[in-house]
Amino acid sequence: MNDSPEARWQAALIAAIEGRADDGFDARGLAVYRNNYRVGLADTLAYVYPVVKALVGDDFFAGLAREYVGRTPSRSGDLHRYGDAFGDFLAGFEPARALPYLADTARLEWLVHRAYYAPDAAPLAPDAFAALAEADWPRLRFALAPGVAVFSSPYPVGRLWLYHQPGAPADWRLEPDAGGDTVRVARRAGRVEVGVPAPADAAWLAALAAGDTLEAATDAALDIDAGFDLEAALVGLLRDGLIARLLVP
Amino acid sequence: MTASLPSRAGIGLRAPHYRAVLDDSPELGWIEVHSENFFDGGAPLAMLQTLAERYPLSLHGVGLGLGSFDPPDAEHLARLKALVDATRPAAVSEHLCLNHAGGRYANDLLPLPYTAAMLDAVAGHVARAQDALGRRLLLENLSSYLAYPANEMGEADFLAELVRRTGCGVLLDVNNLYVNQRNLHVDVAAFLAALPADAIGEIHLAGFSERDGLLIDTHSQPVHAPVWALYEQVLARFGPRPTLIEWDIDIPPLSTLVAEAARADACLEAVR
Repeated sequence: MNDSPEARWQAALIAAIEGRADDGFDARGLAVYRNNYRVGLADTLAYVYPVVKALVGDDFFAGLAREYVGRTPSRSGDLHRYGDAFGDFLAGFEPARALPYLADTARLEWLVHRAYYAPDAAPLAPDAFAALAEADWPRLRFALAPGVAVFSSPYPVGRLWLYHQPGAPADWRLEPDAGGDTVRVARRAGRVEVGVPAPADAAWLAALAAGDTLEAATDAALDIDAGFDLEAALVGLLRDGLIARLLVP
Repeated sequence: MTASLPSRAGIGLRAPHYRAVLDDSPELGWIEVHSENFFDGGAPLAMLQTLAERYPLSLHGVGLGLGSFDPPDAEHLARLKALVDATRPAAVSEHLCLNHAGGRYANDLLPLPYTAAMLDAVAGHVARAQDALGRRLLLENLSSYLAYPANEMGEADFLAELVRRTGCGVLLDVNNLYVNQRNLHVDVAAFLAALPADAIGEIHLAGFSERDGLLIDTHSQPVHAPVWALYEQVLARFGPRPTLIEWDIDIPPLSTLVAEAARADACLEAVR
């Protein structure tokens, strides 16, 4: 850390704006920057977490955002990277305990946000599979397209998310014992899609996303459902452009 | 792709109007977007590439913080470089501002000390950024609400010296200059006199709001009358320059932005 007066003044100004210190800056000017800081980061959270906001209401969300911003400095010049730990914060924040599904809802929304801004992957060559030897198949692994994520929660957060999208039925209900969801997040043709696949498909994709071989992933799916259709699952993944590369052993 | 921005009026294109501009292709000299909104690719980048085929494009960064004592973040710079390569814009600009220290970011456009030591550091950052991008940057003057207590020169002198040392250009924000005149009593005539005319590559116009007796650069209003007057003074000194209408809060219908741009075009026409 540079110890010149200029460097110290800059660090002190940012600390004062965050509210960590108040080292004699012009109060009226500092108030403008503090307001920009708080409003800017809170607006960012509202943009990334619209479902959490809808679940708790504007006022409670404003309180959550204020608390999170106060605890969590920004670490990037790209504001789209702010808010990644909001789900973890909610999990540990006492006033949010009454809504135990809130943290996982936020974690899912972060994955949706990241998927939207994920880099493009070049599409897999149509003949990529044709070049494989038969012996390669069992130990084949996939690099999935950037942004593809599989997320499991003991709460029905996939359904909750879907019920908060435009066009969802107005009379949706989730019973307290609705069970958990394993959610697939992926971007297709510029739109982020959230889906709740059948348990065997979810386990298959989760295993592939974790880097398991095709054989191990398929065994995991078959353990759940002996009728798991590998060919249909593979065709679906290809059709949706979710395989970036084949990792041949 | 265009070699440089035309000396006409353009608009800052924000999310509410992406669709309308794609569908209707309104008559505009050029468009400008915030670089960070298109980092990493995906759907936003594909749309921007479509727009860049129709309009000269300017990339305007809000996050590099070249006026910070600490160097710019290498990853941020690499992401900007990738965007520049993918869109081949007519202009790339950043703010001459502080935004980070010790790895913490304010995500704002903060003032910096205008001193000789600071100039050495910032000239190094600008040269490094221009080398990484392989092209000239335009640097924008700020609206400031407080100042380093031991400044050794004014913002315009600092900018002029950066131009001399690094070959960068200047993005002159006329609203910021007006706001600083009102809030910090900056001498506008001296400010304009200090800037090298050849370096002015772009002009910004926007509306401010007022809070507690301070003018705040909110980009939430039409361009105010005294800012139009100052703009005419700027054009009289520097000649016609690519001019942008910026609006970021309470964004009005596209037709309002196009009308503001037409007014700027009329001012540009008057000095040709």
